[in-house]
Amino acid sequence: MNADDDRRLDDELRRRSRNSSERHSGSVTPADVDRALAAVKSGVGNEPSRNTGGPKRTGWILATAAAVIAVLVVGATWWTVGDSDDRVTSVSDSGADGESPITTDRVAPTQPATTPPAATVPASTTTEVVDLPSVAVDTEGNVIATFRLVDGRIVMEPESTAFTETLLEYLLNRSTVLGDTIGEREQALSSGGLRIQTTLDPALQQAAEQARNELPDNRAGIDAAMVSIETPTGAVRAIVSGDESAPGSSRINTALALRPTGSAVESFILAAALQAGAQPGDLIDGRVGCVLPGPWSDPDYVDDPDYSEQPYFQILGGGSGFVGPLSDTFPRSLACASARLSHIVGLDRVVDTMYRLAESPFLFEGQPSDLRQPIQPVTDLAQGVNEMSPLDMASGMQTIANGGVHHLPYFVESIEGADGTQLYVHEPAPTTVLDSDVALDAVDVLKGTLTAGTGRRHPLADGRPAIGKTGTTRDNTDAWFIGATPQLTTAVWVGDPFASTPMVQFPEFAAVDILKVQGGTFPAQIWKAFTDAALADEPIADWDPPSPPERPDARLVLPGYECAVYENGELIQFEPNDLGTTVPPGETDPNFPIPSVVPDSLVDGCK
Amino acid sequence: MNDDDFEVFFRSTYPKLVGYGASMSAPLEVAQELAQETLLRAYRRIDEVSALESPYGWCRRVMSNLLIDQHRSRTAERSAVDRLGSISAIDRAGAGARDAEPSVADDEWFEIVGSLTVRQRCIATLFYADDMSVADVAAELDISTGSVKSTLSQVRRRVGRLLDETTDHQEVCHER
Repeated sequence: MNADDDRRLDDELRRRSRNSSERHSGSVTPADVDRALAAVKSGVGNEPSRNTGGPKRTGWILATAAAVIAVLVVGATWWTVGDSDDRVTSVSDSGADGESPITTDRVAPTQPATTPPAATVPASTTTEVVDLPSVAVDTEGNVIATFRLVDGRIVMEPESTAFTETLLEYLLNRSTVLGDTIGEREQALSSGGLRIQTTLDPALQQAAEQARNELPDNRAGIDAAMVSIETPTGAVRAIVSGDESAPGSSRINTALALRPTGSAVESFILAAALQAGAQPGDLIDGRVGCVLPGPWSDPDYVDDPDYSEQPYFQILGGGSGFVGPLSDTFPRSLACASARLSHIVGLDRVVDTMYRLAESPFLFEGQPSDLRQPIQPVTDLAQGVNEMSPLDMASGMQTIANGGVHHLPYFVESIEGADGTQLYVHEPAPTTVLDSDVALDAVDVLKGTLTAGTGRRHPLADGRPAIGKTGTTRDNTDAWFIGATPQLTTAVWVGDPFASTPMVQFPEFAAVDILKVQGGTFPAQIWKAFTDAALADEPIADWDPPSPPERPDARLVLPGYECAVYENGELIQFEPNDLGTTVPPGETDPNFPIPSVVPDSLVDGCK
Repeated sequence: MNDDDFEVFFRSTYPKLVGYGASMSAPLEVAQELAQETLLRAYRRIDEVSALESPYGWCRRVMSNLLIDQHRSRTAERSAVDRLGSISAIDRAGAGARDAEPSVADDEWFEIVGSLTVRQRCIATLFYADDMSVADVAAELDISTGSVKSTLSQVRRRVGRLLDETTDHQEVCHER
C-alpha cells in the first residue's frame, strides 16, 4: 500500500469520524444541556462506572448493557461473519401478492442504516402470520428449531443455537434447497410445514459443549468455537459458539466468524507441496531469521517502511528452528520452513489448493468479494494472515483426513413435506482434491503434531491415532487446533469474539499455568476432551500407512533465498544464490512439479 | 473561571463530549451520562482545570477513561444478560433497551471501529476526529506509539476493504 492510498484512507476516516461525532453532538438538545448543567451545578454525580444504585439502577444497567451488546454484536457480526452474508436481510422476491418485505433477524452489512437491531423490537407487539411452521430435527428426532415468521423476520424457537443459526443461514442464504428466491425459502420455512432432518448429533453436541468448558471462565471474555464434521461424509455433527447453555455470552456465531488462521494454515501448505511432488523426508531450512520474498502484508507492518518497502521479509522470534525433513518441521510448526515451502510451491497454487480442500457453501473459489474477502496469495500467507472460520478449517482438514476426498460440509440430510412426501435427500458429491498417497503422506506428517510436536501434551486416550495442526496468531489473539481421526474432524478456535485481544497473562489462565494461549494449550485440550468423549464407544481406527517414497529424499530450496547468514536473529549477509528456477507466478496446476528439488550437498556451501 | 465562564465552557463542551462518547459506540444516554460526570469532575476542580492549557483536553481524557471503565464493567455483566436477538431476550431487555437507543446503528464510523476494543476506538477517534498526532494520542492514553500505529493500520485496512467492496476495485488488496 503506498502513501497515496494511505492518504485516501485517512481522508475517508477523517470524514467518517467527524461526521459521527458531529451528528451525535447535534442530537443533544438545548434542554439536554440545561438539564445536565443544572445537575452538575447542584453537584449530582453519576459515577456511571460503579454500581452504586438500587434495584432500579441495576435494571437500567442490565438493559443498557443489553442494548450496547446488541450494538456491538451488530458491528462485530458484520465485521466477522458479515463480510460474507450481505443477503441476510433481503426484500422478498414474492412481492406480487402484496406481501410486505421480509427480513430475517440479523442485520446485513449493506443495510445497517435502515434495519434496526432485533433487540429494539418488543416481542409484545409482534403479530404471528404463521399456520404451519417448519421444524428442524436432530439425528435422534428431537426438534431443535421451529421456524416462524414474526413481523417479517424468521425467528427460531426455542432460543437459537450456533447450529440452528448456521442452519438458518445455510437454508436462507447459502443454498436453493428450499426455493430459488429468498422469498420462497422464507415462505417454505415459516409456513411450509416441512420437517428438516439435520445432521446434528445430540450426543456429539453435548460432548462438544462439555469440552468447551475446558476453557476456564474468565473476565476478559475469551471464548471458544468448535465445528465437528464426520470425516468420511462431511456431515456437520456439532457446532459450538461460546457457552451454549448460557445464551448471551457471545451472540456472534463464532463458528462462522472469519479470523486469522495463524499457523493452522500450514497443513494446507503441506498438502499442496506433497501433491506437487514434495516428500515427507525432504529437507527444508526452518531456521529462524529466514529471508523470503516480501513485503509483509501484515497490517501492523504495512505502514512501516522498514518492512513495507523491502523486497524481502524476515521471520524472527519463536525459537531457533533447524534444517530438517518436512515430517519434523510441520509438527513443530517451524514458521520459516512453512513460509519457505509456500513460496517453493507457489502462492497462487497454495491458495487454489486451500479453496478446494475447504470448499463449502460458505467458502468457494470465485466467491464474489462482496460476499467474502477472498483468500489472498500474500507473501506471508504461511503466517496465517488470511481469515477463515472454524467451519472452513474443519472442512479443509476433513479432506486430508479422508484420503484426499472432499465432501462439502452439509447440515441437512433430508426434507419431508407437510404431507410426508420426501422433497429433498442429501446426495454425496465427493471431489478428489489430493491423490490418496499424498493424503496419507500428509496424515503421516500431521500425526507428528500429537506425538512429538506442538500438540503432544494432548494425545487422544488409548493411543487412538489422530492428526492435528495448531495455529497461533502473532500476539496470541487467536488460537486454533484442527484435529482429526478417520471418523471425526474438528476445528477449535479460542479468542475474543468481539475483538483481537492478546490472550496473555490472564489470571484465570495463569491459575492453570497457561500464561499465553497458543494452539497447543486450550484449543488442543478442548479438541482432546471432545474427541475422547465423542469416540469413546467407537472402534479405534487408523489410516493406512503411506507408500514408500518414489525417489531419494532431497533438499527443497527457494532459489535466491537460501543463503542468508544470520547471527542472533540478525541478518548479517544475504547473497542470492542461483539454485534453479521457481514455479511460474500464477501456476495453479496441483501436479506441476516443484522445480527446485536438489541434492542436499548443493546447498551445503551456504548453510 | 467563574460560574458564568464555566457555563459557557459547559455549553460548548458537553455536546462535543457526547459526540465523542457516542461515536465510540456508547448509546446516547450513556454518552450523556458520562459527559455529565466528566463535567461534574471539572466543576469540582474548576480552579485547577481552568489553569490548564486545554481544559477541553483534560475533559476528553477523563471521558476516555470513563468510557473504558464503563465498557469493562459492562463486559463483566455480559454473562448476566440473555443471548440477544432471541425473542425472550428482547422481552427481558424490555423498555430499558429502547430508552438507551443505540446511537450507532447507522453510523459509518462505527462500521470501521465497531470490532475494536474501546481503547482502540479512543485511539482512532482522537487521531481522526480530533486531529491529534500519534505521539499526543499515545501520551493522552498513556500507551506506546506502537499501539497507536498498529490500531491506525487496522482501521485503515478495514476502511480500505470496505471501500474496495463498494467500488469493486481491488488494487489495494492485490498490492498487499
